Amino acid sequence: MRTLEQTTQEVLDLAAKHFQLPAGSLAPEDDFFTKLGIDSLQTLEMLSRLEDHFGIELPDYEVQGVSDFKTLAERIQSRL
Amino acid sequence: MNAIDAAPFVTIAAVHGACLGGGLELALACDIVIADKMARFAFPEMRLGLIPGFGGIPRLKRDLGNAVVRDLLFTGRTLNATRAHAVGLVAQLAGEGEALRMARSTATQVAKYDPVARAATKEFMKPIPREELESEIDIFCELFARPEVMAALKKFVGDSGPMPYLP
Repeated sequence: MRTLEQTTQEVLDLAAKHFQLPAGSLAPEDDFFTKLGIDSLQTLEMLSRLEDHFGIELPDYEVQGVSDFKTLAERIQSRL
Repeated sequence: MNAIDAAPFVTIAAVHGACLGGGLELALACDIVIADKMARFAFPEMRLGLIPGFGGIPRLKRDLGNAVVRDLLFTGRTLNATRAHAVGLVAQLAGEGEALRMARSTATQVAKYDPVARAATKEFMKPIPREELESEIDIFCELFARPEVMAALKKFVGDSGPMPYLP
């Protein structure tokens, strides 16, 4: 079972890789819409990547309104 | 959509990325759906105060269990390709960027069979839910005439948020 810290780190690593950013350039408190400048289609792509990586289903409405990696990781953790 | 659904030849949908609303209606009209693992499916019409109006519900009901259909319609959420494959919406799951190649390969295989036998198989396996299709478009038109729908459409068009398909 992953800890929340591990899950958060994996989310950060996955986002950095997907958006081709240097490793370590994202922080848990970062607002990913501002930091990554992603649109609605990229949000869906990211959702697919997260579900695929963690082997979970993350209904859109559970992450609606979430804008920082830490809270996103918490939502994921609750489904692991 | 109905013409595609009932066409006397086999139709294949290659899906990549977001397949929402009309895109999903089109995919459902096809005989075989092949999806890239990053594809996502949803019917967000409820967000507009509507239901799918071009055969989405009858065709979804034809192919999937009612529990999944209700979940999709009532929540408007997106379903990932793996889950869509597991519930029977997607026939073949493709690696990233491979859906079209797999669709062509599948078409080549399908084309090897006798066209009359193919058409007979399709007619037997894929009945057209005519009454439900008519009923759905009637309900769609009734709902569409409401002022709430126009207000929701305006809001949707102006929504630049990350999930404009959800209220």
